[in-house]
Amino acid sequence: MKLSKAVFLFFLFYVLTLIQTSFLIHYSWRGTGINLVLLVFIIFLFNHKKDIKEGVLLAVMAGFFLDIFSSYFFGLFILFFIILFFLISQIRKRILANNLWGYLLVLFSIIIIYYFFFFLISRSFNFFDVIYNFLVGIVIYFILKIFYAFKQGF
Amino acid sequence: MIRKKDKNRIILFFIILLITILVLVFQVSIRSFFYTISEPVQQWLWQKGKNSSDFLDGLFSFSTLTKENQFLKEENKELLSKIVDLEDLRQENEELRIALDLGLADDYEFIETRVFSINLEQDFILVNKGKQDGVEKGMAIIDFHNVLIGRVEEVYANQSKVFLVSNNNIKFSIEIEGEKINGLAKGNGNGEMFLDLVPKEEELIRGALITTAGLEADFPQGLLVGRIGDIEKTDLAPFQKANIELLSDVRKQNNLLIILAQ
Repeated sequence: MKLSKAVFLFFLFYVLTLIQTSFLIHYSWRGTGINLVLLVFIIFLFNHKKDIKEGVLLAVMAGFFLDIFSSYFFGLFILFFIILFFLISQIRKRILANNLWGYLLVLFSIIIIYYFFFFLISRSFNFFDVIYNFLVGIVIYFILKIFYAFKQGF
Repeated sequence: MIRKKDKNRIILFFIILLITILVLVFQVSIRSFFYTISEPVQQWLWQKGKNSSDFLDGLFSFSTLTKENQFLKEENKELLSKIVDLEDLRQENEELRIALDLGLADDYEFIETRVFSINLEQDFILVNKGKQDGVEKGMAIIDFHNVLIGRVEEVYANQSKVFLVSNNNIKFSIEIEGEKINGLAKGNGNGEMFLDLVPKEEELIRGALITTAGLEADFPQGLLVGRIGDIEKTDLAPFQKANIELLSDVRKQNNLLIILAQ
């Protein structure tokens, strides 16, 4: 990964975390917020094939900012995201279809696993977290599809 | 002899180890640094998010507003009559206090603060007052209607992390208004709180107001917490439980008060 790209991704995840913790919080539903960092992380890894170095770096960047805005010990979310990267890689290897259904499967399973990890730490689980983030993940997927189609049209 | 590739790996391993140790040792400073540089942007995002969500709320709830307005009018009438009763009681109380010459101060020493970030999964907020403003760990934070919001958990130079009352780590003694019933309020995560350790013989009434009992140093007596929700009572358990419907939604607040001293 080029340094300029790494710096861009670092700032991207920083901005996403700020949006998640200060703006999107006003659009929460039944005590559930949108985990924008997690959703963008999943979409990134699903659409772009990453080698181990790139994937781990991406996981460290995403987890770093969630650790900053967390009440748990530093490094917990970095660890979560590194594990999620390896899981996404394994699921992708077994699912050849790089289409909507493949994406939905990856999205749903990773969100479930993420909140299961979270349950192990916090001992609280809200199923609406999974449902809400899954729905928002689908919306983001279609927005990006339209964006790419529009870009290719020019 | 160590190969060059292996040597590079060993160096990389030690660099990562060193960074990890440094981050763990300086985690408070790192968080404080990021909170300080992010705060102005987050304040702006918070305000924009609140305004846009208020606008959408108004748009979608227009049909229910008339019904809600009617209900509030009725409730207002009831409250007005209660105020008259309370005013009599307050006067009586004031006279007694003067008569006994207790000299108790009614008010606390406050500092006003702004919320700029919230984490719903972990039930905490970040506010823009810290060590330099005299904030200390364990201080209670309330809204302008005397409703308890949470407790300061971590203090940085200019910001503080506040655990909401719904946080799993929060528990405090409570009393039920108008009744001689005591219990323990516990955070349940995900914005929820429940009432525990209320003896089975006591009769809990849905909707009754819950206030802090003031048995802990952190929370003064008489702060509003919420209302009793669904009650759970079984023959097997010695105590009954109930959900607490919290009175304050922190997402709807801009400013809060930190109690510096009682």
